[in-house]
Amino acid sequence: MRRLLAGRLLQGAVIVVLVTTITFFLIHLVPGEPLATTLDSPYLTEAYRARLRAIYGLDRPLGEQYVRYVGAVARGDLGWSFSLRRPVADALADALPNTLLLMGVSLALSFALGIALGVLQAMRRDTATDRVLGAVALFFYSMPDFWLALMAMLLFAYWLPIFPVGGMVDPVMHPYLGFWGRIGDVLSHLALPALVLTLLSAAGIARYQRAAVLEVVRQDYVRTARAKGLRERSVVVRHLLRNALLPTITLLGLALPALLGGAVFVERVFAWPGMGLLTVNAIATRDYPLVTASVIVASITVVAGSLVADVLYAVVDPRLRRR
Amino acid sequence: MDIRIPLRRLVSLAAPLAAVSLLACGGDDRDASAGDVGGTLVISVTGDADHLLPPLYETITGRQVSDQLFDRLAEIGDDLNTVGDEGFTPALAERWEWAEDSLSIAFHIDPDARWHDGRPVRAGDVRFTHALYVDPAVASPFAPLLDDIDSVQVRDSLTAVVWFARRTPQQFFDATYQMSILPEHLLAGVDRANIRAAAFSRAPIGSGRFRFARWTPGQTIELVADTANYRDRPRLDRAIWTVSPDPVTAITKVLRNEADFVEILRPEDQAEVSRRDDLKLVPYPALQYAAVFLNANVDGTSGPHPIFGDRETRRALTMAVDREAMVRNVFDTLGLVGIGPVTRGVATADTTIEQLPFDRERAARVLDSLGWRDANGDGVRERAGRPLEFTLITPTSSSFRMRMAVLLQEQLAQVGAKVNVEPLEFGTFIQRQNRRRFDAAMGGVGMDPLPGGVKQSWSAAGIGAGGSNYTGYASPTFDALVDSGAAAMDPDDARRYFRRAYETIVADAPAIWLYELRPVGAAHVRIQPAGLRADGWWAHLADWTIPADQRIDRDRIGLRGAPVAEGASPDAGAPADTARR
Amino acid sequence: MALAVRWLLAAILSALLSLLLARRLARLADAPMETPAGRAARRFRANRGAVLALHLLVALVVVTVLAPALAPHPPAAQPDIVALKSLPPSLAHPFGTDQYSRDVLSRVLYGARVSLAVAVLSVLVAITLGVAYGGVAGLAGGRVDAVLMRLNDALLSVPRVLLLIAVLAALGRIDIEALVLLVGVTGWFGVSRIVRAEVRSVGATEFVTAARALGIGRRRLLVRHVLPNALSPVIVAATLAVGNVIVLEAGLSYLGIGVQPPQASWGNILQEGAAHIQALWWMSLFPGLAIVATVMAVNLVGDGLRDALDPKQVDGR
Repeated sequence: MRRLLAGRLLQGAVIVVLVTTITFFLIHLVPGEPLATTLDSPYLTEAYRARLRAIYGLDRPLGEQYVRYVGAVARGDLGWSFSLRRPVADALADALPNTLLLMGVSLALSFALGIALGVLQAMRRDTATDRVLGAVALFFYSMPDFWLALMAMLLFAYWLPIFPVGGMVDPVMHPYLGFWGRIGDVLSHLALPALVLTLLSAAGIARYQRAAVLEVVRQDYVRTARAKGLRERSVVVRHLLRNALLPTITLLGLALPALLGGAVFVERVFAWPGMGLLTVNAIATRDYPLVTASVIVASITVVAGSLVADVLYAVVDPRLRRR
Repeated sequence: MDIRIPLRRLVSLAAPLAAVSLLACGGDDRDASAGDVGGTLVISVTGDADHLLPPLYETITGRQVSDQLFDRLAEIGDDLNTVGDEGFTPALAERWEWAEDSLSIAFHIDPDARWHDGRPVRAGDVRFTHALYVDPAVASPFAPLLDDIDSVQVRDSLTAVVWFARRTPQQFFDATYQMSILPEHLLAGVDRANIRAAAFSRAPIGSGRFRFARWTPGQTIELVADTANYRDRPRLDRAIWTVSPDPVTAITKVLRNEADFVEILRPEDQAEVSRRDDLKLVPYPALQYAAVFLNANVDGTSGPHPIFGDRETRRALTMAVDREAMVRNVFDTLGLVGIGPVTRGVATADTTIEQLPFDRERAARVLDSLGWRDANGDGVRERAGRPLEFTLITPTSSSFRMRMAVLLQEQLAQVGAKVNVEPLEFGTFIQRQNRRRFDAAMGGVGMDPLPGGVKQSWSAAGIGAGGSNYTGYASPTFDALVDSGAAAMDPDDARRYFRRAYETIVADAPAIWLYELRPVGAAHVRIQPAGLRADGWWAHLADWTIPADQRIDRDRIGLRGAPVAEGASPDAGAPADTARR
Repeated sequence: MALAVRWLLAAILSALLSLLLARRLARLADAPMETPAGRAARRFRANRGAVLALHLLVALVVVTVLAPALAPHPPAAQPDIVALKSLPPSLAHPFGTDQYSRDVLSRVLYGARVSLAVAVLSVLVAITLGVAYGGVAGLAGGRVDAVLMRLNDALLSVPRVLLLIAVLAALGRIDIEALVLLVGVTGWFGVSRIVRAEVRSVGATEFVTAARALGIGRRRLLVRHVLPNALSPVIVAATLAVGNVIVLEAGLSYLGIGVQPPQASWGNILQEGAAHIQALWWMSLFPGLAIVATVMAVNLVGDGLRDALDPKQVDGR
């Protein structure tokens, strides 16, 4: 167990360094200057531009910049955001909890929904229920994230104005609301983006879960349990679900990158002030330090997520626990 | 589409929430203002402010907010006259006197003027402000605009004398319009080189009619009324800027009544707003125009451009473009076709100048006669083997100009000219434009109210480093006329010179004058805007009103300060005015 | 009217192609000799959803290839920028017009060409890379295999969308060819795992051992004997990947960093539509539906193929 953990941690660290390196060089090898937008302000004098370049070390060779960058990142210093005019780390620290809230809620809901539907489908295999649910799951599975978000917005924010169009809180009234008013405010803003992300990832989970249950059904011990004359419900709960849920946990690790990618688009559409929106805005303003850092933090999140999934799996699966 | 109207009447989730909010506020109306003062104005903008310190801001939002927090010595008149002090009204200076030789002006500070921390405004603050603006360590973008000011001298605690290096028509304008007065006692100890990181620039204390309340980066900036202000309290209680990442969301906030005012609408939204009875259109003048810069001489080195080096070709291409229809497409009936290197809001503008007509057949004939013919039948004309094809660089940051580019492409295709639109991110666009590395550029020009500004962009002196004459247009006639106009001390003389200058340049067609930005904003019906000035609709924000009988929930927040931190009880916020007096 | 005739001809053509395809499948399935292909064809035909989706894809390909003949207007034409702009769907413009008075249906038809081409080509790139990498790792075995697979694990846990976003943002405006390459280069990690697993399992079988014993060279072994056996899972993965990439391209173009205008792709029509979501909803609805329908069909076919080609699957589901 400890060896497993150490191994995975090391692997995670390697991945993060790899991502950092790849993004850093790709971004800096591109023609044009990382500071372009800022430096091109018509108000700036050439002397001031030179000073800015020196401040950010842009007058140094690329290799030196890379070493400095990695060193700085290791110390937790992610650089300065030109578009937000504040440290990148501060901006990310503000955005990350919002993304985690959105993703946490969506993750919980989509696993609950996806597993329930998948099991239901598998139990009613080849009936109309199975086929209809399968088609619905495939429908959502085939959909671009941002398009579902746009359609949800069109439907529930414009045509039927039930939910706000975007943001996380009412920018004006929120500070003046009472405690419950604030909770309600956040929930009403959370509803649409969370719904969209939930539907999208639940579709994939349901498809996976259905297959997993069907796989287990074929196993001998289920047949044995049935043959012993156990009641169907007890077969399902005691033998089938327990074993069919196991692979779904690994899905947690796999679902995370997809969910994070989806969150980029959903946050963009609903102006949810999280990592995704931050990244997209950073792209629009060519804020390279912010783009690089967002990618790094996102892959750390993914690595951490799959680490958690691995540990969970090890805890649940007795075969791995003994190691 | 029809089904949308009844549907909208469905009770939304937001409504009960708003009701909860009032209860939470406790309905304490003690400090809510009566009569025609009071109310909350929520302004929807697309970008956050950078700094709230006048010498530092480079964003429009930064300027909008700073202008409420800080005062100038005098305010320019609504006609934006820049010659002498005609039309200027007192602000921090209650009056002023010109010296006999006009080389200095003595400004008498209003004795009632106070900083928001309660300290009086003094002449020393004016001297300090000028020194800070021009300090190279501060690197203020506005420093070059103060070149004609020699120094500021303190005659007594309430009299500041501004000395000028030379006599110019716009010297009063320079001393007032370009400088907002800062508090010496709060900024004297700040390290000039790191002033951008100073806490003051994110929570400023000024002397304006609004005072700073809070700034949540990327989301909101909130100001409240300075109720004891020497120039009278604002007629609003509160002004809040709410930041959206893109124009669509910014407009949507107003359409959904989450915000009260948005400064620019697209035609699709204008149609929506005019259908609504809870919103109204707010057109206002501006000082920006857009034109297709036709580069006569790329890089300024490689000789005349094969297409745009020729005046007649430029004129023919201009005549091939239906600018009226393009403007109708992008701005509907509210747009204005460009009239030259000037906007209608500028004092010297002249709308009667003869423009090149839209005449596609004539354009085709002229192109034929110039030797531009489609010999190989591919739909694109050639001359001496060189196709009539060019690249049009366009900044992606401007949805209007992007749209104009797509329209222009098709317009010119009709006369056998091929346009390749190259969308560029704004920074790259500026870079290419400044280095004159383009065939044609979808340029936008923001003017300051000074008539001489046209010189920078279109005279021979503006070609090359430091200048902004990107097309390489060089006409001695035009240059001479602009110089005479800018030097004229009499406004009528100035107008005459400028009219002839504009006639010259329009006939030479160094650019296709597309449109003058005639912005149309949207406001909730209860908002009564005041004095929308061409150089900034926000100039008289403190005089905007919300009639008492039309107020909604957020207008009744009153003057209570916003809670300091998330989670803190709203009642914990100190009443706005206890910090003073 | 000529247009209606052309659509009719296209419909007939796609019906003919569908028919041919169906007969080919039938002949394979009913072949007297039991072959793996025959068994797969029989299983595939039993899956009605997949067969329907296959016919839909045939129709889609026909429409895409014939787009210039079937589009009512040239995709860039602006017939009347004042009177015909921003029109809701009508008989004259079934998908409405955009803010430049261009016909949205025509743009969706032309956009299909770009979107599908990007998807298919970049998947080809990804498959090539994945097969090469997985094949080398699988054949080499031992330490090389271990190192290559660790690296593969690492690459798999990089969020692809974010990596693409970072790179494309840095590159700015790029050509379609570059987009295809980049999407392909970031898409092979999963395929290489599949190929490597197949190669390992095939490599352990007797006929490869026999081939080795006969002194057949490694490269020849890989190309002639191992890869053909690994083909079916790769085909399934490739099919599903095409669906994925269509969605991915749409997303990137929506962010403004994918296919660049004036070239129309489903993604960038959606991008323009999203900016006018309330007023010009038809610009977002129709290209979106086109994507969903296409990707659903691709996924159904992919699922069908997987079930049909899975050797463990019992006949008749």
